[in-house]
Amino acid sequence: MGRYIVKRLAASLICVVGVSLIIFIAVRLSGDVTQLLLPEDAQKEDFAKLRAELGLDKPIPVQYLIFVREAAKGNFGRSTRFTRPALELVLGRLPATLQLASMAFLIAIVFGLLSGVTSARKRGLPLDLLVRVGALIGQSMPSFWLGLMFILIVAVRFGLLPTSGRGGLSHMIMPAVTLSLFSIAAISRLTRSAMINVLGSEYIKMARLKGCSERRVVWKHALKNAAIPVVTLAGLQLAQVIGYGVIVETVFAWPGIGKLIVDAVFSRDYAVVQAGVTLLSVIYIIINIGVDLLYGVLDPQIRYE
Amino acid sequence: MLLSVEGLKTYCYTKGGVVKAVDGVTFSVNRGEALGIVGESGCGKSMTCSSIVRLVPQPAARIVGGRILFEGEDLIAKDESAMRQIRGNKISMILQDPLMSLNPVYTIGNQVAETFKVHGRRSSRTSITREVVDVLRRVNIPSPEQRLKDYPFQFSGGMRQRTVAAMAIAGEPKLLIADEPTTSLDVTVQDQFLRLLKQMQDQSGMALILVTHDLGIVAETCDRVAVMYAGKIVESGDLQGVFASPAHPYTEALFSALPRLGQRGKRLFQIKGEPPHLLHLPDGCAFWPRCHKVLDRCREDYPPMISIHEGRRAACWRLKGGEA
Amino acid sequence: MAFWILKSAMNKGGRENTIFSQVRELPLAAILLLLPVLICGIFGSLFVPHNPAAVNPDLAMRPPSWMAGEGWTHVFGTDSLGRDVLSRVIAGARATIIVSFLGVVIAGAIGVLLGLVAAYFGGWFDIIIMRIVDIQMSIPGTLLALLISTSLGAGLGTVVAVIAIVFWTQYARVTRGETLSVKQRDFVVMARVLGSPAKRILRRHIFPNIIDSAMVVATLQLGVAVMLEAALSFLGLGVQPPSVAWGKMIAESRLYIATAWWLPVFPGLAIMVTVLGANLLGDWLRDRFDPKLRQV
Repeated sequence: MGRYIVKRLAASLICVVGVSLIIFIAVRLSGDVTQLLLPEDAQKEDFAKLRAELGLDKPIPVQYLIFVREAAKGNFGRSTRFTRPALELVLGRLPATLQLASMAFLIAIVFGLLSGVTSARKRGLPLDLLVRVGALIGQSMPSFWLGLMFILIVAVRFGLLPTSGRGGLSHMIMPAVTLSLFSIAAISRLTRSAMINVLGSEYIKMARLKGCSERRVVWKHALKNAAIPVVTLAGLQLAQVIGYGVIVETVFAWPGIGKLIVDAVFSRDYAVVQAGVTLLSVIYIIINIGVDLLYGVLDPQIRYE
Repeated sequence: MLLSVEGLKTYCYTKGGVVKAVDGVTFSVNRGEALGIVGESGCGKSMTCSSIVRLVPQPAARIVGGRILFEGEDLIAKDESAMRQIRGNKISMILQDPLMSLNPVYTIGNQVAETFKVHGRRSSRTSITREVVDVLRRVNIPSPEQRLKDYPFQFSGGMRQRTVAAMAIAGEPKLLIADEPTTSLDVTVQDQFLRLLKQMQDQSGMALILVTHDLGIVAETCDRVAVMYAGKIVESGDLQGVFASPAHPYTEALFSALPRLGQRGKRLFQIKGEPPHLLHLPDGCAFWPRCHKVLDRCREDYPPMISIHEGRRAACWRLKGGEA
Repeated sequence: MAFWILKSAMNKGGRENTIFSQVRELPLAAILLLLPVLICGIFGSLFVPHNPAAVNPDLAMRPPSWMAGEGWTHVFGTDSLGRDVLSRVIAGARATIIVSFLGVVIAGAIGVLLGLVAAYFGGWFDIIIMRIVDIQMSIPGTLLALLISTSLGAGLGTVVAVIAIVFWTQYARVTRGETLSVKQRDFVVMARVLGSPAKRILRRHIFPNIIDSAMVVATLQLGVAVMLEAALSFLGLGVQPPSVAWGKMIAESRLYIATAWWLPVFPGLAIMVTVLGANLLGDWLRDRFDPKLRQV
């Protein structure tokens, strides 16, 4: 198991480096930063001076190395909008995003697994049909639209919940549910098919022959086996949750990193874009390592290889 | 009489029609006795076993008729929770593929212990562990204490099947049903396992139903034998009798098909034709298209079970007082 | 190839006996949903009831006319500038199908090519290409889309590029897996033993065998691509005016959501119908041709 962890960590490190390269390239391609920082009537010399200051006159590979060195120190530059260090700004918003994302993820796993297992057990019956149709529709609704529909019906029509901003549970429910819906659907469908697959296995028959109750058969024997492919999917869904979180935060004005990044894209606040995307990617990579470790826990054959 | 199956009917409802997988099967097993059920693939032997423990794959298949008397009580009349008490406890069953029969994500110790836990036999962890080690030793697994934390993929084929047997006898059942237990094993291991079954019987006085397509296995382990064809039993009786003078043409043909020493140069006998598709059974006796002794009557009516003498029965028109 | 796929609608014997699965034998539902979208996208300009760009301040913010008892003049109502919503919904189909279709095809071309190369030639090709795939997949798709939009600016071309870049990795992974397994098969080994050049083997033996999975991935991704395009348009990074995009329509409706419910609802339904149709089609294809991809 130790070797497995080390291998994964090494691969992740390469990913982090690669991601930094991609982000660096993307931002560099966006255009000349100096155009934004100086007033329109500035002279050529002013531009040149600023470029030298920002290190933009050096060759690109050197710029990259500087970027990496500074990033490792936590310096992603200053936000042009708020004139605070970009990383500080981004970190400040992290708790809000984490709160929303983890709630959404939790909802997705709980309801996805439950509905998938129920659907598999009651295969062919009306409940199964309902869940499957629901999942199909759930995967077809764009999250921003779903969010707006929620706002329309729950907040505007019935005035039950606040429409925006961060606060207690009542503020968090709509965005969390909106964010989770796609994942509930995906997890539900995969759980269902994995469960049906597993429930047809000989060892399940054997468990019944031993006299195990149906509950034991499903929740002890079947689930652990069905969980293995679902865990892979859950990892991918996390990317969705983080990614679409950006949009849901915008719809509900939830003050998280996503909203920050979107605003930064429009106001050409590149430092913030860099810092934000890097941070979120690193978090995603770390969580994926966790997912791989979970594999090891679930599937003994991986551990012993 | 421990188990008496009377006129058991289990039908499968498929898109193409009703498949009478088990169609009026009657047999019995006494305490401590070993009954062999023989037949080709698809003849209904596995479905019969599944029916006895009431684990037919619903909703496609259902037990539609007959009685299964176990220790005097009809198993068909029992509800699911009563059956759960019986499975693993009074009646156990082991399946063909030992690798598939074991859950890959739990340890051997965990899975064998489960039989004890489910039937509430012991309560403390240590006493359960002791019982597990004990039963693993009984099935001849070496150093069982060290094996408890192993996973199924770490065991060899023979050891896995023995583990499955351990899980099955942990509850000290009165009846063990073994559905083709040696088919997936290497030939050398097969022998070991059969001897283990015999040993288990001797130690506990448990009855055994051994389902197989291999007559050689039946010869080694069983006291009585029942031959199945197309969902029905066509012949049954004590081992010596049936083997010495088979009454039903199908049984005869099965024996003729066995290669024998000293037969060199001669072509191996083959039963002509193929087993019938259960959706398209012929009228009359199901075997008549392949029968080398077929009579006109066979094509029209299915022969009833005719008693030859004490314990020996067969379903063939030729037995009704000689010729038809 | 696609024609052949559509033709083969025979009964393959259902896995379950529900009405749902029998309807699934033919992708009827998928076709019913996607066909109108396709028609709108290609021929929409021929049958729009009103000019989608026609600004009409007197007619602004009208609810759907059949609800107000005014007949069928504005079936989906009008927006804040008096433009007919139905016409705009029809017009929006064009951007959606062009972008998603083009994007997915380009992604497929790149991904299949790289996957083939990685698997067939192995060695450094494999290592480098797969590393790139891993690295790119460490950035959540939407974030990557934002990043690319930052670099390239908004517009139709950007969205196509975004979809191509975000989606090629999945093709690469699947194609690589398939190629690896086809590579081992006897007829390929024979061809190599007999001295066939790589290009020929790839073209004749390998490509036809992996193209099925690639097509399944393509249709499964179509739905996701449409949603990504809608999301980008919603954020304002998609096609620019005067082109119409459903996501943009929804974004513009946010201000009026309390009073004009029809403004976000109809474009959103259009998106949903398209994605649902694409998903159903993808599922049907996958169940027919490559159930191994169930986990995609």
